[in-house]
Amino acid sequence: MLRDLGERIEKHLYAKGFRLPEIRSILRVQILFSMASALVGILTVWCTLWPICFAVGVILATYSFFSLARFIQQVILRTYSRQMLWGLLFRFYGRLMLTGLILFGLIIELRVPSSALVAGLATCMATMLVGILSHRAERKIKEA
Amino acid sequence: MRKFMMIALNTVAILSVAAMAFASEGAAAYGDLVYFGAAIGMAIAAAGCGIGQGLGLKAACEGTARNPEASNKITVSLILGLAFVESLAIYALVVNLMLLTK
Repeated sequence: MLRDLGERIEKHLYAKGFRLPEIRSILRVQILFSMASALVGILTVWCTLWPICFAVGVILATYSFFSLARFIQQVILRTYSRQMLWGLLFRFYGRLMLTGLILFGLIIELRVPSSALVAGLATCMATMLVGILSHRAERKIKEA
Repeated sequence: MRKFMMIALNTVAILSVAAMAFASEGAAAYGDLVYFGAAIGMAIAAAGCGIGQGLGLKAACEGTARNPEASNKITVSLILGLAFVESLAIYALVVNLMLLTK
């Protein structure tokens, strides 16, 4: 079931324009992780706020990485057009502003536990590190 | 000589800020210093991350121009590098927002 879900996510990502398999696999893992953490957060919201804040951090990190990867691929791998460039810039700065506003609302207005939020945001870096290391290990095995 | 000058200038800078901090009285002045520190912290983080991202992008563009066949590999490294740098800026924003709640 998990493999089916992963394949479906990967197909969806490919249709969205993610042509690089390494980035697709990292995003797939991150999306699966954010779905799982959101599920755990929703199920445990009645007893503690920590998991739901963690899930919000994971979703923010996933959204940020998703948008950045899409932006770079659209800039580098697609043909240039003036209209596309304006759209890309608008979406890039819109995403940055949205991330800042969400963090402001969560930390200043709602006073959520910051440790949970930071831990959630750090999952993206951990996923990328694991992705890079596994990719390097695969390459070494192939070379050997 | 240059090392001595750097140490002396840093000492003067630290002492001048410390004098401001000691001179301030009450919670209002402390709050002002926190706002100042948060703004300076975010500015330094944004500047550092901007320089880092710019250097990465420059190297990636040069690499792609020299060897277009390696474009995919360079793009993967570029995306991962930019994501790492950007996450540092997001952490800095979180820390500065946490400072504002104190």
